[in-house]
Amino acid sequence: MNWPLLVFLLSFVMVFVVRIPIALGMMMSAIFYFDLAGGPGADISMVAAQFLNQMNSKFVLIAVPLFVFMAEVMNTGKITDMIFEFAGAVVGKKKGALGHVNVVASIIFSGMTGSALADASGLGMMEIKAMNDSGYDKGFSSAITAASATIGPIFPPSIPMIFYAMLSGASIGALFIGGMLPGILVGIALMIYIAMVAHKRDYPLGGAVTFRQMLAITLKASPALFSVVVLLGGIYTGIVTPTEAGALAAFYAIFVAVFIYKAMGLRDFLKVVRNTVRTTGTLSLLVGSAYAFSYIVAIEHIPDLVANWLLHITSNKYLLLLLINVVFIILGMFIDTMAITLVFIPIVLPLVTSLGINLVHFGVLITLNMMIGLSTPPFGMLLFVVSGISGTPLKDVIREILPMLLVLFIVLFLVTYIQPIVLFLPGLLGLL
Amino acid sequence: MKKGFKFLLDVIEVYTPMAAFIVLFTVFMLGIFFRYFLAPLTWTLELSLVCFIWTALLGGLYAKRTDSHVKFTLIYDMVSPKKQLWMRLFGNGLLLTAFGMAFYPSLNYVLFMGFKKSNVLKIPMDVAFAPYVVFMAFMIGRLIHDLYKDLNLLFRERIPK
Repeated sequence: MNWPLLVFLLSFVMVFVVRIPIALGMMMSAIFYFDLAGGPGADISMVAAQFLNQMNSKFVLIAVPLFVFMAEVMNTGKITDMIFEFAGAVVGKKKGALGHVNVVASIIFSGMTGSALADASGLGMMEIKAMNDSGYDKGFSSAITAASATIGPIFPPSIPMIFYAMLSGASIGALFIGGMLPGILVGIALMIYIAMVAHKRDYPLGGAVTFRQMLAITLKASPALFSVVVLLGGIYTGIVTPTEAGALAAFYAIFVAVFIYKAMGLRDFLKVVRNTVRTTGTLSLLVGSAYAFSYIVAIEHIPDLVANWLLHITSNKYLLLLLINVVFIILGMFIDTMAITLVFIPIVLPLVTSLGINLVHFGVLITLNMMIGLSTPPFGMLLFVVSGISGTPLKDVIREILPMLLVLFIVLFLVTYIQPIVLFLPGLLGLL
Repeated sequence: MKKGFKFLLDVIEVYTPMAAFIVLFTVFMLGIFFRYFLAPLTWTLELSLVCFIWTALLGGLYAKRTDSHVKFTLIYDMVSPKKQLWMRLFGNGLLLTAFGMAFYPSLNYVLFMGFKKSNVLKIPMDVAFAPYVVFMAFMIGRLIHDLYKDLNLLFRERIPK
């Protein structure tokens, strides 16, 4: 191993040891590397060059602030309230109804934003409060909110899938639609688990809804629900690109929040923009730094080394998928999803391609894997979010989420080994 | 003086990226409207990308101010406040060294890019990429500030037990 590479790797390890922000840490490691490497095409300005030129040429990245903005508008503009009410009416009189409502609302909401954290922090607060007030265990309410929020980035649209598409060259449209069945599968699996727990713990029944009430609630919620049509309809009819659909849906959400639900004034709008800027700064800095970082990873042939090492263990495609899943789940327990996507996925992608694994299939399964990581103790970010917004001790949330994780792992196993769960719909639409 | 400095910080770290995002969104919507209903505009994409770079980099400064950047805290959270202080000093010291080393090469690179202009609007690329230099400068300032605060804590022995 050469000296610059050693410093590069050691300094990157220090990022995790002394709690340096990961985006800044990747830039730091790249700067040290280029300073020591020297030679033509390898001076410190390469960090700026990689960061700026890649950001300036990747049109698809504009989708990120647009989707973040859309999620912020929906969380501020009463749209989440409407979805929650509508989901309640759909579920109706069932034992443990609010648990089911939690999952149904997450599926609908994920069709709008593509962000698990937006789901947990927006809808989550409402869901947990309603469940706690109705007598559900606090840990259970928080845990099911975290588990159901994982559907967000699996069901289209999805911010992590945009990053994956950018790294792998896979079609965003195919990835989005490929995530649909796995997203629904996660929802069904969680609802089966909720039904079992609700029966055992005698959780309360939901309110019965008459046809007339259902109609009234649907009418009231329809402007909010129509944003799913704007977004997904736009993408799959091919009328607009996914990035344009993000902008249109955000515009539509502002219109609904301001003029129909009258829930957003200028002050709220500025707050939404401020939050959007902060989140965009966090995500985009990670992306920009990852370009410089990945450039070094590529010129030092690290993916080849990892591929050779993994192939040395086994060359069986199915065992390798299992191995990659296990490694990513362990990474997901400790490291943020975006950091995993941008640092570790480029390392395994050449291996995935050489094994002939479909890139859309891998993209969806690895996104599901990473989303499960967001709810996996000890450091899944969703656990902290739901514990924070509900005031429930973290240990209670962790105790309740463990069986739900088992359910999610079963779905991950199915998605990994039954390829048509992911590829059936994209194939049907001719996107493969 | 202090108020003026605070206002300047707000302008760079909050108001400018907010304005850049609003321009990005508006121009992008305009591009869609013209593409589907009138004649396609070629400049909207260019301006959107420039605004995206401005939003991302200056928004990154705002994220630093609000301590929103993603970090791995497992080890840090397990140690005593005194060790945490040393970790912060070491981490910020490393970052300051790296960013200090990279400042002039980055500035030179951005200035060098001034020879190139965008295809349609002819925006000089040093203008488009200028926030990178601002980002580096302000980040160095923030790192010095953080180091000063922690050194102050260390020398005055005000470390919480």
